[in-house]
Amino acid sequence: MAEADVEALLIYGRAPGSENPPLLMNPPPDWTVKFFTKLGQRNLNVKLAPPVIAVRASDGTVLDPEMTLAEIGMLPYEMIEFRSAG
Amino acid sequence: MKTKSRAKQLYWKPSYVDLDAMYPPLASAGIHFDDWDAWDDPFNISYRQYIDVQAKKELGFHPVRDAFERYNGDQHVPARWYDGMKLAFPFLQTAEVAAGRAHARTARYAPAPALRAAAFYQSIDEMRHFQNHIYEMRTYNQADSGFDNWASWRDNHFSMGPARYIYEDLMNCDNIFESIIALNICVEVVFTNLIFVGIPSVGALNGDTAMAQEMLTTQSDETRHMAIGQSTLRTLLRDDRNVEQLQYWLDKWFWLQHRAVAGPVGLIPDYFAKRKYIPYQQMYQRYVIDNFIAGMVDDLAEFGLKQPRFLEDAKAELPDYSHTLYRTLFQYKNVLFNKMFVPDEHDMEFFTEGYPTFEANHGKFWDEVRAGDPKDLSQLPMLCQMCGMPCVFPVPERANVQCSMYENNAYWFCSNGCKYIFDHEPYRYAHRVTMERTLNGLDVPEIREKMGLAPGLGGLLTADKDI
Repeated sequence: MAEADVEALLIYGRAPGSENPPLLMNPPPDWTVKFFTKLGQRNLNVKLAPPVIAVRASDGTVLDPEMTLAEIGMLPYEMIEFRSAG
Repeated sequence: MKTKSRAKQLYWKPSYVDLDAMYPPLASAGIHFDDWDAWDDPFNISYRQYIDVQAKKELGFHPVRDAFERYNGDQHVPARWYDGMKLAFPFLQTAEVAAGRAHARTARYAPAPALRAAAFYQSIDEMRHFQNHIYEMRTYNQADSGFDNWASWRDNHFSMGPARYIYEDLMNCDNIFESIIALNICVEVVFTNLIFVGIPSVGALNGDTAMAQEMLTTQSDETRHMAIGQSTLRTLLRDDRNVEQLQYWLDKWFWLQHRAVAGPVGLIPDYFAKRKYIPYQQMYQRYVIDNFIAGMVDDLAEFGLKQPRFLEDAKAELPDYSHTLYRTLFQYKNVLFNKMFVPDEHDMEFFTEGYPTFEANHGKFWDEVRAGDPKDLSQLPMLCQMCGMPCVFPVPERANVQCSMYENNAYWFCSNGCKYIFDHEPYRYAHRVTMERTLNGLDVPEIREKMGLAPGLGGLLTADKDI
């Protein structure tokens, strides 16, 4: 994950089914959802069976993998869940 | 006779200030009662009587502690026990100090004279308790390192966050009756038998006779504290207009105390006790469900009081609570001030027998640890906005993580109970900044430095000790 700085977002990542708790991450806003999904799993020390989808945890919306994190408009401290769609 | 009768009264009408200036109505806002002067204190003792009784209690504790030190009692205590006590005592200190201050406020601001007097004694009781806890840590510090900095852990370490959140909130309640329900009912009546009767049994079994005696002398004051809570609740329930408010406080503080007390306490009999007593789940059933629910809440049903709203949630997570919390702490062992250990064969046998779902829910984690996976995590977990616990319950793989949106911000909770409380009083709890946010971006050495952890603290117990 990127170092914490003023540019980075503050987003929790979580992989339901993983033994690890949700963790706070600092991705840059220009990362795509797809890239964050890959790096987020690494940060959570989990490898889900592909295909993996990213879900906005507060309302259950499945996020478009090609959009950037800035474009999907996450509020600070919102959470993205990584789930295996297989 | 008339003079003596007047002297025994607890209330004098102020002549220089208004009654409302002396006892601001805000301190009991929303609570209805006709005649505060008629409030009854079931103990109603004089200060002289109080001091005499307390002095005898002190004489029952300190010789036991002295003997423990003099005759090397620590040699009979397994190493893991001290690491449990390192977590337990700073936590207890937070609760005792908050209780003392909460009751000092009640002694000052309660509208009922008898309640002010009873709270005054309780405030002094709590000071005795936290002073004795410090004596106890002094005794421990002769056998194991890390106790000397207990005040720093209490005030700064993330693992003590739940204690700070809950007890600092408790002692700052605007309404003194909320702090009485929170403390005298939801701590004293519900949980102190578990802490100060159940846990000493485990301590004695593990050779810690000094701690067992210290807990028992603490518990000897609780009868009086419980009476304050019970008389307050019963008295206020006589007025129907109070029922809704009292029920909310009962629902709220039962859940928060379950979260704050049940977790840390459960670690002791299940993990930090090498010689086992009974599974924590059974202790909880005996001391909390049977004593409190069957013994008190059911009795008050005729006044309209119901069981705590989240009682079933609390019961449902008991098979996993201590195991989930221990696993999570194990993942952060390098940033703790106590040491952790890998449960041995005897522990696993106890868990499997006492908790039928242990193997299915937690067995794989420990199998992988034994195979060499340290399971360490470098970042703190998401912490609950309400209670400060990690959002990992009932089990990390199926954690019930809840969200509330308030003023365009996202807030996260470890349970339905914590979300319910936040949703009722978001203005009161939204300002908290959980510690994984303040420590965000720091690696393990940086977190250790921030927490003031000296080399040698945290990590794993080594095999050269009797774990």
